[in-house]
Amino acid sequence: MKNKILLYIPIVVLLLWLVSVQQTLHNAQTVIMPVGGYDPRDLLSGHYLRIQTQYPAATGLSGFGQTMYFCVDDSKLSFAKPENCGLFIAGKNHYGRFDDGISRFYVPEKKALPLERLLRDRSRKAEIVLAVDKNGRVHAKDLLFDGKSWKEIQFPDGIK
Amino acid sequence: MSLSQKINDWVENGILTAEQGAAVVAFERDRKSLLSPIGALILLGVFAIGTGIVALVAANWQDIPDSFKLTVLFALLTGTAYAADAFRSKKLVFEGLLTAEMLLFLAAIGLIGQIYHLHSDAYKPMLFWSFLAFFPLLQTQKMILTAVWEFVFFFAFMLSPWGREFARFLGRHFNTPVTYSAAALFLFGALTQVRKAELFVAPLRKAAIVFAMIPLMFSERLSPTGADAALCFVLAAGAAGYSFLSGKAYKSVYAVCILYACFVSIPKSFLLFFGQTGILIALLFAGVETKRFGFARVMAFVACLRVIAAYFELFGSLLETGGGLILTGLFILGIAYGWHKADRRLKAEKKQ
Repeated sequence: MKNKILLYIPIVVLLLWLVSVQQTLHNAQTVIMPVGGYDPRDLLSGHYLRIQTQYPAATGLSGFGQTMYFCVDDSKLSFAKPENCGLFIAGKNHYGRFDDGISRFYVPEKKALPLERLLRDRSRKAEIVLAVDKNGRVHAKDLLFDGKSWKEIQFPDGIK
Repeated sequence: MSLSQKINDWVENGILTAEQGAAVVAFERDRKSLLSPIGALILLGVFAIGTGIVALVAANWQDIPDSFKLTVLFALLTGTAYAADAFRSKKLVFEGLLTAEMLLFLAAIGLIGQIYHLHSDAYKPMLFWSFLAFFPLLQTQKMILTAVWEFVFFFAFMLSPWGREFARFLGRHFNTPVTYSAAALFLFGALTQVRKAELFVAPLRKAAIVFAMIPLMFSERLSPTGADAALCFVLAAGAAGYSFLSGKAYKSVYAVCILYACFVSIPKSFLLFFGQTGILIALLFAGVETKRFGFARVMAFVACLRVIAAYFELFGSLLETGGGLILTGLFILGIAYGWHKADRRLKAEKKQ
């Protein structure tokens, strides 16, 4: 009986993890932010776009790794958790740049290159839809180009 | 050489009787094998089906709903766990299913990360996999699985913030190859005393001795500073003391420890090579005395390689001349002969 349980414990743990991720996204608030990026390859999860959410620069700040907060209401950065802020995002200071931890957006292999070109195209408005939980942690939900989800974009060379 | 030819040899040399040889041939002939024509066709059919499924899934991956992907994944995980439990008495199948389950954990972490665009440092999914895989690992009899798990866990740990802190600690206190070697040898000695959890301990023991051997194979940049020498001396003296007090007949282990303690006190000079080779030979004798003949044979081979490496370090320029090449060849043949004699002696000791 003990040996049987050992085989199923990891499956239960994986299920619990999946449920917790799903719950976090379900209960989180949504915010849309501008984004830019480039495309490498991840060995474990497939193609992804390397993206960076565009926040106002933390000008004058040096140092690396200190926890910072971005208040979505007034677009201000601070080292302390903002009070009287309806929605805030937690991140780190990377030499004056606010890093929310979002660096990847997974896409199908065929669409990776065309989407990367769209990201680099400055005439297009690229935005990311973020799910933000009550502690300020963010998860990427969708990628928008000129307000349209990447899944709805038709590419001229027939890629669907 | 075919099985029939081998059996004829064994019968001629009196290892088997003629009736036993015939029985072995008859048994093997009747045994079903995957290498038979029908087995090959079955393998081909299964391979074609498997490749077709993978190709279909890959081509339509983006059109498959995420919920369906997750359902199939968890169905596969549960099915594999159920099958492993059902086939527990069939060792090969059980081990294969355990390996499949551990690989599916990796697939699950990757798939969930992809669907939900999760982000984290590289070490986190590796540590998570190590945690999940530890449970089926407790039931395996295959050392290769535990060795792979230990490698992944150690690699993930060293990438983590705790691992980086540990590496900084090591760098402060063990900052030359010889001190790493002494510490690894000390760890090896400690692990030889552990009798439980052999599947987990054996790969660690092997890794420890490999790490300990590497600095003994090279003579450059090995001269220890005063602080390193003191640390190595303490480690070696401690190990020698433990061997003595534990009451076991590990006399050769004392010799290894004492040689190491002396070795670290020698400034870089021509004596360094003799110290290194002396330690390797002492380890050989320690292996014989503790009845670890496989280890002793490996030490004999490593000692021969060290001698050859020293020859090339000292007389490498001889290779440019015809006479020098002949001398080098004779030297290598001499070493090979010496190793062959030592190896035969060790094999004979093992049989006794």
